[in-house]
Amino acid sequence: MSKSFKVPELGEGVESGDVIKVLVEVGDKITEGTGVIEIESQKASAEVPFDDKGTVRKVHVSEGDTVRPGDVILTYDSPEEAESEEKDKEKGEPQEPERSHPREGERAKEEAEVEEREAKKPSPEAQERALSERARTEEEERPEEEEPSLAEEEGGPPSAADLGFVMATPSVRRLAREIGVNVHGVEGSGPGGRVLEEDVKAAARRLVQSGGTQVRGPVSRIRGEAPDYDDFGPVRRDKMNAVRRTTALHMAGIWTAVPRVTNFGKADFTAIQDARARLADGGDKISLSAILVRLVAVVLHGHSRLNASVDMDREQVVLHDYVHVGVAVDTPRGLLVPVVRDADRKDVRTVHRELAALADKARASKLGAEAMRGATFTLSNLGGLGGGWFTPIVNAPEAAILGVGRARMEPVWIDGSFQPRPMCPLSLSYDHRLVDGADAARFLLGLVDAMENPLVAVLQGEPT
Amino acid sequence: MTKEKKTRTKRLLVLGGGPAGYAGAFHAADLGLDVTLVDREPNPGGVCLYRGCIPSKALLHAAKILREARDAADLGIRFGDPEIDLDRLRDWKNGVVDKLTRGLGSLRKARGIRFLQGRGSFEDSHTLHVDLDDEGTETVRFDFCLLATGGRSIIPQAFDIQSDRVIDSEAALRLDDIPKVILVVGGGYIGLEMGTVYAALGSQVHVVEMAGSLLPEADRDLVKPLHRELEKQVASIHLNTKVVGLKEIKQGVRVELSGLRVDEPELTVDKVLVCVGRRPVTKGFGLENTKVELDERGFCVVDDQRRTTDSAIFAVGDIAGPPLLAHKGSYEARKAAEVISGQPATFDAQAIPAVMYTDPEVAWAGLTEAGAQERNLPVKVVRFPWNASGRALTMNRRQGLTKVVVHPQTHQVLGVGVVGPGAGELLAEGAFAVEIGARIEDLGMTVHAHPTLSETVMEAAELFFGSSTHFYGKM
Repeated sequence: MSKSFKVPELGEGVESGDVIKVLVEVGDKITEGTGVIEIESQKASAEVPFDDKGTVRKVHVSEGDTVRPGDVILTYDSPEEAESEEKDKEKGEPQEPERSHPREGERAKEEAEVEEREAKKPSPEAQERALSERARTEEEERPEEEEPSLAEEEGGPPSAADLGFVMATPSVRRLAREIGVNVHGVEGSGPGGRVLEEDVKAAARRLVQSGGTQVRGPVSRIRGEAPDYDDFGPVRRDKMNAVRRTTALHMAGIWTAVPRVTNFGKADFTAIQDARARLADGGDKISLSAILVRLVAVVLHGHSRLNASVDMDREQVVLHDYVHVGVAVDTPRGLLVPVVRDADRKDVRTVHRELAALADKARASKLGAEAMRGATFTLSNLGGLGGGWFTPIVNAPEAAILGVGRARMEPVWIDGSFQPRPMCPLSLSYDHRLVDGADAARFLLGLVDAMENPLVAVLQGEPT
Repeated sequence: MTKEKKTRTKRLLVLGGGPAGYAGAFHAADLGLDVTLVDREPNPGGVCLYRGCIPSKALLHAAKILREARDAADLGIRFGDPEIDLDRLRDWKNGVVDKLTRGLGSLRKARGIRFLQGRGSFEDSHTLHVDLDDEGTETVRFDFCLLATGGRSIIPQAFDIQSDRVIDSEAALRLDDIPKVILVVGGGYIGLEMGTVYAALGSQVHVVEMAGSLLPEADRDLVKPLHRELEKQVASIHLNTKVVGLKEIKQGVRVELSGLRVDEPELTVDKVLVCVGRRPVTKGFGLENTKVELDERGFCVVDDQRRTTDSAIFAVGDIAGPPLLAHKGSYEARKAAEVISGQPATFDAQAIPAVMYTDPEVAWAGLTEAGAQERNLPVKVVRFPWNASGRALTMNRRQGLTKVVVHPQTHQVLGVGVVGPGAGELLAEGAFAVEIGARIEDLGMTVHAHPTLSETVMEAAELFFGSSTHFYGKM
């Protein structure tokens, strides 16, 4: 019998990915470590390395497919079985490849079985269909990797939910649709599991906190769909890539759930520019972003509310004892946000080196999902491109994001005369559920002070 | 210019003015869309109002009066034999239809909906060509279309013998005459309703049904009391029986039957009423010039918002798939109108009531017991027989049953079925319970007026927990 090689876990919370390249063909001899496909998932793309040794017998995915952990990528003959395998072949198709052709069978199944199918890692097509037909938003615990048995495939008796029944009033169901929650996936807290308005709202909050990546369905569809652009002239249509899709859903989710305020400020960059020049003279070329990450991390120490998250479910404020700074990176595939961990405890050279490596990886589509998780604050530096103030969207569940524009020479009134100073526009957006205007103003002032007087910042900084 | 185009009101074309079409048109107009309605009739209404639900219910009402007058003898009240003035009855029925469709016409006008009476045909996904009844043609450009062309009776080829003695339900509703002997082909609700009307008016009615039961889609225990009652009203009911021969002769139509228990395989009747089903109307109006696709049964392929495979066209009502019921179409159309106007609506009804206006009525909503079995869903079913209902006895109608299909663990009410006079009205509570996902105790813990038939719903619910006031014993 041939063996099958499946899509591994793609990272915590990552449910699916798009196959962007198939790297092997039938007949290829592959060994441990050979990349078999390239998967683009949420914000990462990576090669999936093979974990055995053998000859590819059949490839079950093709470019553009959406796959989930557990889907069969390929079947292969391992060397020790290759011979007996030849005999099997003559007797007829072995069962394995037959069954790992899930599409036809799955497609024939009733839509009502969607939930069940999902629990069993359905084929990409069935999955796509399920997603488009029924907004599916629940945070679902995926079962451990295990071969679904045939009996399981047939399924036990269905539940009422499988037949489309949900214990929720039409008005609650409408609310769910309006805020992009799949009511079928919401666990009800009412008697007998009734889904109440609060349950739907809580599910929406969870979605946003988990990154909102699963907000799908009518809401996003209607917003995305406009009539007849052809009326106004010729148009072209491109399929959204995973990064675009994730960004769209994530941002839309945050936009509706996070009450955002943006404070504007300006910092005199003279000291930073001097410091950079001195470092460069000493042979250390340090990027402005690295310096900003370092300064932000230090200043965040005295402003714990800006280094925090909201947990509305438990009505708690989560204060992070670490400072992980996400940095927005513009890549050919779209916006990616790799994370510099413990930026407050690293010297600026280390920050610079790590950030450069992360940005390179991001641009080369080699960044793993893990490298983009866990940030407590985000920096979006558009200064390299130019521009002034803007109003960034808070990258929930973080509490705040700093937008940096390009420093420009401006006349500044200093000691009775105007002096030319490079002034940098700063935009601090924050989640007003957690951060009040005064908190933000204090942080921004502290940050400006640190930028203008880096030495003071270092001296005042808490020991780490 | 481009800018103007972008900001103008969305233009919606509604093709078909039946209960789906007009409900969608009205709702869309209320939501601020620029609506044009195209239909063959002078006023909205469609088959339902002109040739279906409404005229049949008018006639069924007359039939009910006739039967109740006759049954009054049981209570010691005797009327003489009724005299039926067929012209007057027909005029009254037509008057009802006229009043309702005119009413819809003025509602249409009041909403500022443009109306074109004529025959439409698609040129492409955004253009409909209309041959107006009042001479001339008109071309309508639209952003979205609500396709509501409805359905029509199926007349299998074997019955197409070019005789006006072979009729469909629409012809039967015209009430041209009262045939002495009429054969109803098809034991579904349309056949049985029309059979009931003609039987009450004095026809000798024979019913043949291919399946092993009348109303094949209903639960057996709901059909049984109806079957028993119908046997008193009609001359014969042949189940598992087919019409194998049909020939017009001088005295009428010679019909040959073949079935399990047919005593007289040959029958001469005055009229043959064919009610074997209805099919969607999707041909003859240029649908092939759009991107709308049909499934293997001829219904438009739609998603849960009722969008077809052509993104500008939504299909609602009979052409969007079963059940082929007016209220399903109306609800679909209202949802589609909301989607078109930009709201996140979807057709997610948990209960679509079905009512057979026979005597007794048979009605259900949500999951049937058979449906649960078929789909292997374990359910608990509670039944309350009407002979334990004070109200039923005071009406001299003890043959009835109220049943509730319940999820055994969550107690969610998944379906309700009723047979008995007024079952259709009684069903509303059940449909509501299914739609809101009520639990069986919610029904049991709602005080119901005494004495009413609605108490049977409450008492059925109480049976779920083993104790009902007026019924003692095993369910």
